[in-house]
Amino acid sequence: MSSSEGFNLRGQAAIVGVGELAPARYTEGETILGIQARASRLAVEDAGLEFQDIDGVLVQPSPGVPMLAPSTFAEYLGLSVTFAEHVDLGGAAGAGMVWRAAAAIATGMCTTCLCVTGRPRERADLAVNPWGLDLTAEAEFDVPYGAVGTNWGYACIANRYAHEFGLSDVQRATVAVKQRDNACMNPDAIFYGKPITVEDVLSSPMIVDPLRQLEIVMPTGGAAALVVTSAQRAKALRERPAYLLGAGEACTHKTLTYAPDITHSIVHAAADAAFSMAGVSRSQIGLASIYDCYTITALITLEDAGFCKKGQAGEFVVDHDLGFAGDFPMNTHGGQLSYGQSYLAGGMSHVTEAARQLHGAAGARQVADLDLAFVNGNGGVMSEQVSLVLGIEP
Amino acid sequence: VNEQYWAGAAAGVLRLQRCARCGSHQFYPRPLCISCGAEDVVWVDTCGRGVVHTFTIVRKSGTPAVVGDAPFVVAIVELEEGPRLTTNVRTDRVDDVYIGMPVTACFDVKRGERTYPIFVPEHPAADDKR
Repeated sequence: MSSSEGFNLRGQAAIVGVGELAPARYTEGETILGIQARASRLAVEDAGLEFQDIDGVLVQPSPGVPMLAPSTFAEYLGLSVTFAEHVDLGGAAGAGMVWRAAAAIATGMCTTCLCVTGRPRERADLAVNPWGLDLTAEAEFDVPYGAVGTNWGYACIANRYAHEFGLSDVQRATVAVKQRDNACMNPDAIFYGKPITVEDVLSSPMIVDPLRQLEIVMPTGGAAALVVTSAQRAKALRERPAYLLGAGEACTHKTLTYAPDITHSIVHAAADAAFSMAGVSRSQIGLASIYDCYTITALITLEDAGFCKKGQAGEFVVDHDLGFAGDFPMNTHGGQLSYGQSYLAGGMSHVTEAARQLHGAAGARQVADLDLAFVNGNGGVMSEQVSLVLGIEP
Repeated sequence: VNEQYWAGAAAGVLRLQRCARCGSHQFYPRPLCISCGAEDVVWVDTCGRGVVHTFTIVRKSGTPAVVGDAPFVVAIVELEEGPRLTTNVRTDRVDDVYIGMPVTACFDVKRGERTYPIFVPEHPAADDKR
């Protein structure tokens, strides 16, 4: 729940720089801090700044960096900072970093904050679990039943959703197809130049009923970073900064087993808070940049964020043009399903795309006359939710 | 706090925690009641029956379940007492599992020292009526 007490983050800070390394199926010779540093340099450059201008850092939990991750990263880049924190929200980390950076700036803890996500994906590393001991309930009570990773959970959501509201295979497949069309406008997307049809999706191998291979995100290696600075500085740095107008966050569970409701996600709480803070209505949004690790994720997010009625997301994606020039531009970079998921930089890609579009820097896929965008980040199995409303005026 | 659960499974009974103050059941075990906060939670034996709240058939997975390699059914079962848990529904006909299917706990699956409760359809013959 958002609070009406305390100060308001609306318009206090803006994203002024975006740096992103294109997703690669496998990376070679990259280290986790190295790949994050490269994305960071691009973001700082894009903002027209130098590393010396950065006085805040937000980093992800990184395999191989068991503690003191923020200072490890600051040291690696030679930064001298007054605010350093790590953001552990899974796929929602990127979106979660944006409002945390804005809050640190608004409270005077720093002036310009670097937010960074991503990791390499080396062939040789894939068999190793770098995270160590797992003493959670999930490890004890869920994993022995083959409830490993996230495939099973999203499949369980899809089956229950179809049971309660009705949802066809074709409706789910449509999400994958339309986002692939979007990826074909983005040379950095892993599936650039490879359009697919509904038939392709339906004939791809069944992995976890009812989800097929082309409905499941592909892991890649890569990194993404942002620079967030005060509204005052932002105006001097870019013509069209992406101001943070509203933010909301919600969480009730990690493992789907213990979710209060399988089909009604807490996206609604995060989104309501973000729209309420921004003072903006759903119909004013010109770009929806929403987390899509699976087709069902995007569908549930669309309706729980309030862009269509509950139970109608399947019809919504069939009835609307989701392209950059369409009547409902959504995931114009291709979504993670077609752009690639470079660990937590996958979730960050929804923020970078929204910022890039608002900056007017999206090139051939630029959404015309865009002034407001909605971002949703999702961690775990509809577990951590972060919603943002971004706009070009503070 | 979890040992009572596993000891129950080894003895062929599914146990849950019940709050002595507010009466709520909960899974998984905790040292206090997540409904009212009371630390007075006691272990109770359940009837081991529930219904499939949702499920998936895992066709491809690098990790086997306690019931074996893929394909297997992972289900979230809602117990008669209220809590849900994730488990396997063991059946020769994975395609016949459905949401709302009555299932009952079974305790013949061991991995290492531990007995893992799984579920089987309560009325295997009734499947034909669907």
